[in-house]
Amino acid sequence: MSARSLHATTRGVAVIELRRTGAWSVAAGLAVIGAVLIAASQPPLNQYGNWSSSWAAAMERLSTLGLVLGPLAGAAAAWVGGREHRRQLGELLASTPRSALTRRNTTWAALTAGLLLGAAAVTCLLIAGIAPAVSYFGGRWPASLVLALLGIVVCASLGFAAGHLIPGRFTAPAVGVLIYLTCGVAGYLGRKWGEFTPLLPVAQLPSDEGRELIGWVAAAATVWFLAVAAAGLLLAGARRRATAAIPAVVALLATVPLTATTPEIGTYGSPWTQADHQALQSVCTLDVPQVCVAQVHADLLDDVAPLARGLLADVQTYLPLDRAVEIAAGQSAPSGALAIGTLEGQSRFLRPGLARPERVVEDAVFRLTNPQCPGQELNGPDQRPYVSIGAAQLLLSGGTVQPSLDPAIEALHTRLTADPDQARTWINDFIPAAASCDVDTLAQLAQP
Amino acid sequence: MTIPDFDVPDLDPATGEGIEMSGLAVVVGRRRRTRRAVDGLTLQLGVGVHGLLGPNGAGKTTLMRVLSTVVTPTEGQVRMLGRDVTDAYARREVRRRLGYLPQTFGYYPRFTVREFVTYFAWLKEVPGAGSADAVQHAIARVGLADRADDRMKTLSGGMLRRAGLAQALVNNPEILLLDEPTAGLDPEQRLDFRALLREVGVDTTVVVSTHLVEDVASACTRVAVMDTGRLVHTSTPAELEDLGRQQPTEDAQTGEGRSQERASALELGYTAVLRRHRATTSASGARR
Repeated sequence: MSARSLHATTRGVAVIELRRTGAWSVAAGLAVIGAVLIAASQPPLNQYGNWSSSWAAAMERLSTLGLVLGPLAGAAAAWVGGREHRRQLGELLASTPRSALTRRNTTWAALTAGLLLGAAAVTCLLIAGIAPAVSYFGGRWPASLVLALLGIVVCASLGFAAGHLIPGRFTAPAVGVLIYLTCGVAGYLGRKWGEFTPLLPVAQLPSDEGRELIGWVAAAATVWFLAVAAAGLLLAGARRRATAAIPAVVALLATVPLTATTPEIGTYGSPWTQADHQALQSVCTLDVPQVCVAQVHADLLDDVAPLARGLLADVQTYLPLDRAVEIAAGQSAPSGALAIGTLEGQSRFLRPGLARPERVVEDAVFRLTNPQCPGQELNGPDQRPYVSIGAAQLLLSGGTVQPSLDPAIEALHTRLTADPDQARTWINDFIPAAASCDVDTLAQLAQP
Repeated sequence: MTIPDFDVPDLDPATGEGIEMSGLAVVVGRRRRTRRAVDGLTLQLGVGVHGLLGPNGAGKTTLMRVLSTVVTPTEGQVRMLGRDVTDAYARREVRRRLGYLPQTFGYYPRFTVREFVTYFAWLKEVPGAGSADAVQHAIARVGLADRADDRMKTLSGGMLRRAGLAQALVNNPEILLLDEPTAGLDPEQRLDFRALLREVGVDTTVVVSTHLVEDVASACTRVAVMDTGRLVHTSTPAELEDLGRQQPTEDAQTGEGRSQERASALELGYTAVLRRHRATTSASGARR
């Protein structure tokens, strides 16, 4: 490096800090850890992993990855925040005219740039995962992305403050563990504390397909995160630490509307979100029998249509259904339509198409045949309702769905397939009994 | 034994822009464990190299910390470069023109020498346009030009001390404070270091706190001796040596006298000054 390439400007020093705070290493570390975690959640490493090629799902996954990235960011920042004390530089630095706030903020900014770079690399990987098939670009996902990245910034700010205020070699790991436990345990808290969990910096950002952040909530949450980060920086660098009270008060004010939000009636989503009707709008095949999926899963329509039509062909032998429709969680199928369960989590990673087509068929059959019981009605010793359910699943799926190897199911299925008229009558008795959780009727239908 | 009495303050500054202290006192410790680390010190320091001698606990480092504007005095006034450093704006201005190498020199091991000095050039608000040259010049002055791009953690103790001096010099300071600067240096490095001090002291107020009378003898234009927080003697090193030369003759018949013959005249003068001060203090304590 030539002597002239380093200038003692803030930018020049930021470049030095980028190099020497380990920001590049941290960025690379976060990117690698994020990539490993994403890969570990997908086949072939995880056969049960799921993937959705939507922005909402990508943001949800980014938020979840924050449970690892956030503690790492906090720990790295705490380590760098404690370096002045660790290296016994406090006295020398205090004799210089540059304010401690400027000095420490420059260090923090360089490190945080590295952390954000790492998080951005993880985001890029997630985007690469959805890019081949993403079909819906709405849903305020940019706001979710900003909040997810701000969560990393908050972890870095609080970690930096902790590292400076509590200098010691164990502060950094302690900060990491504390962030992990706080943000991880919050997911298991009950409804009482549930409204506060989205305020945590990582892993708790609500993001579901078919829902979007409410506009003013996103704005208030941005204020909350920025104010918390500012309070951390002032605690670490300001000559008068009491000035941190100003952003702290702003942060508290931002929490008032955020914790007062209530979920929409009849919805399952977080109170921070609202239904994204455009994402749930149906996109249908032009030919019949018509198959419809939500806009957010439009990329899967070509894969779902032949499966749904195959199932419809079997089901139509017994039931008057003429189309197949994807329904969101908590919704029921329109009259005359075969319900396809939500396709959330059914996409392939890094490639377009369905990951496990058989699950779409299974899910549709289960939706038709599984009793809608409000309680423990099916938990009795009587196995006969299960025989009916199994036989119905075999019958409606044309043998595609294999519920169990129970000989009683096989026997009932054989008897029903031998007489299509009887089978049609049987199914028409079975469907309402299953829908109403009529266990006695289900037991009677099991008679061979 | 007759020891000439020196009036204080008498370190006549060459200009009025050096350091002026008046009735300076610093109380350290808390509650019942407080003590006056610096006690009623009045002194003026002008351009030149000023040696600050004294035994452990004399208050040298506390005084250096006050002069580096890190510690606020409990009593008295300090004016540096004509400014009252209790004023925040003036203090910042003084810090721009100050170089400081503390006794415990910390550093960031991953920084290269150049990065470390550049970092301090920024902290000292050296204008960006000339900063790269200032950094290179400071590194060259301390003889580390060939190690400028080596990481600090790869340097020996002596080289680290020189890198510390480079950061102190990077803003071309008008006041340079060096606390035990030759600790950890080998004899050759000490000679180089003293030569550098003489060079810097031509147009800068340099204050060197040290135990080593050799540093004072070969690099300082003036010397001040402190004991128990008080200034007990100021003179030129030559005057302190003259004082020391009187000592072996007077004590020649004692074992102490024979050992003193082997000691340098400056050491003897320093010891005599301290003894005189302690004797005076004990006597006045007994009278009370």
